[in-house]
Amino acid sequence: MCALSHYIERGSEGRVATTGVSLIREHAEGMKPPRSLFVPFPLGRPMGSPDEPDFQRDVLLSALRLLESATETALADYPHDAPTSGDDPWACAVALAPPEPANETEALRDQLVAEIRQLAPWHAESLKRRGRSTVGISGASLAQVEELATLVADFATGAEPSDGEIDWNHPMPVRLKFASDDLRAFYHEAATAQPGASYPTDADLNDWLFNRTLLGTVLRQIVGRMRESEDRRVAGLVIGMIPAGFAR
Amino acid sequence: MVRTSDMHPDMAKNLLSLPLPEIEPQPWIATRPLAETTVAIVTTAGMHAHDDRPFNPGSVEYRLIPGDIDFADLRMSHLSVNFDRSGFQQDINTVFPLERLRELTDQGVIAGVSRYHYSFMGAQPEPTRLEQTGEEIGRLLAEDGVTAAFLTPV
Repeated sequence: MCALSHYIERGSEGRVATTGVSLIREHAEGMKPPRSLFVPFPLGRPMGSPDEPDFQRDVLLSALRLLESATETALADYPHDAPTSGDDPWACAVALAPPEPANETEALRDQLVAEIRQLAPWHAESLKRRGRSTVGISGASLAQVEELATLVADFATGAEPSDGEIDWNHPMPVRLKFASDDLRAFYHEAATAQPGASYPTDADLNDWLFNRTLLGTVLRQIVGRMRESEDRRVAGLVIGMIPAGFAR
Repeated sequence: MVRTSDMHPDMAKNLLSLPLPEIEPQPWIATRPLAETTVAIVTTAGMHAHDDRPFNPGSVEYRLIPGDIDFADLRMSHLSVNFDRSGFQQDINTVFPLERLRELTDQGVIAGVSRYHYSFMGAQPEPTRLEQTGEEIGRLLAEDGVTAAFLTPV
């Protein structure tokens, strides 16, 4: 990010000035972008919190004002933490009782599809409220989410994954990473559509998904298989599957 | 609230071990008042239109995001799983504050919003590999009359 500031200004030959926000103060200190606002927000939330337009606008304006005020390389600190939803711990309103994952491929597929169907009404609520879904980077449409479960169940149980009906964006094994991301997006969107679930933190959602859902258990199984793989492309994907601290 | 000292030790170690190459500073760019400034967003969130090509691991390419894009058409194919995506999933402006820029334009705070915005894949192990494409979008933005770029990471 900081490197881009220098390259954009150079490429523009002095016509485009850059400013922005930085989430890692040490990086901004080291690479010295012309103007940057350090924000003490979680990685992935450079503007603070979702659905907080006034706060987001203030962050944006604070960074843009550096264009007017700075006369030399400037790293400013944004003084406020991102808004949170209070001190009560977040909990998913859908009580999923993850069964022990089946060892047999068909049975595991059925278990995962059953879990997805438990969340489907909440995902429909998410669609209604937000008018959109971020599911789809694997190539699957929203209507094909259950087919994604087939892919992960196949890999988790050692079966040969079939292509199915999805117009995949990636070949195996990268396909597995983006199928996993799409499934997690579906679960997150469903979980955050529930009443009172405005601001679960990233840690809240990871704790729920990886410790309280069957999908989480299956994704950890997959990572275990990937680590044992002799195919370096498969082993190299581990870091793109499960966040640090949740793989076990 | 969130600093490297608060992160999972593996993640903090990884982030702090990334190389920070020294890049020759450019001559200081004198800016105009905000009310005369046209702004584009440049993000390293790995975002793109749904029908555009997803990013591949290690990609230094960029994707163009039209200024009139429907938020329902935006996707994120960033490789890393070590950042929050739920903010983006709930409200695109948490990462890509296009609606906030439009509001600032309506209020007369800035002159306007660029017709095009740009997205890269972040978490680059060698940031200097972005030199060519970074300079290219600098040229493109300038030719489009943009006078400031607002950069957002994830």
